[in-house]
Amino acid sequence: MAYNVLIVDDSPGMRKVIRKMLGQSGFDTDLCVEAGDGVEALAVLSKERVDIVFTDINMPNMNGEELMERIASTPEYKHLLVLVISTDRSEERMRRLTALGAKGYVTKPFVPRTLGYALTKLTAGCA
Amino acid sequence: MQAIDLKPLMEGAVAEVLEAMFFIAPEGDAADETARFEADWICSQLEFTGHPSGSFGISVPPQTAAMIAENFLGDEDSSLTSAQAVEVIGELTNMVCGTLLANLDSSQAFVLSPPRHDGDWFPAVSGDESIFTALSLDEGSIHVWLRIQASI
Repeated sequence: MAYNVLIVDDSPGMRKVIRKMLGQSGFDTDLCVEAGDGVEALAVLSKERVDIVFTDINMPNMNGEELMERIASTPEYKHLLVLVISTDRSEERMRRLTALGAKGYVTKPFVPRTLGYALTKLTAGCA
Repeated sequence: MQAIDLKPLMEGAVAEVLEAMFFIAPEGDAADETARFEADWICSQLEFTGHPSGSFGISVPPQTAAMIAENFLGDEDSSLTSAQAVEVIGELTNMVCGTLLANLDSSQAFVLSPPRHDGDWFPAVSGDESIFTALSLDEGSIHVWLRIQASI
């Protein structure tokens, strides 16, 4: 099964690396789009049919937590699987994001194997 | 705990991030290199809030920044722009600071400001609330500082 993916991170370099690692991990994507913050992400979501969102937390304009609040409160986005990719690995943050609906959490720095494992868990049962 | 006690943690965070995502292993102390600082070095810094709060920065010579960016992006030298190198050093700063704070206290959330690139290579501060370290790399060196504003 191929997925439509949205990568949200304010670092263009990190977005490129995540995109590359998705390919290296053998993850099958049909569409892969990017956004630099939560505001851009919501604009993309309003136009594209996305299955999985990879989001950073610390971003300008609208951070990842605010983005997840918007996703959680929008019925049209109930199907979205959200994987957080962030430097913040604190228990407090993970609790908050899990409560907001995050289905997985990858901490930076990470290697392709880590991302692949998280994706396997994230998509288990979707195929 | 005083800032100087965090130096091993800071060096560990630098090594952890460089090895995992940049395929670079620090080769030891490079304090002598700090005397070679020049105006074209790439300096990135950010502020963090939480427990503790403070600021954090990384400075590298341009050729070191290029190597780090190439390793991260997987680009050839010819296609890499200086803007990309600066942006990657900002992301490196973000990851090392986040790793350091997480290793310091895994229970508390923190907020990192976006990295900016107009900072000093090392702020003119002294005392227990600031620390500095320099590490040799395969090409050049990396210079890292931490300034704590709140007691920890």
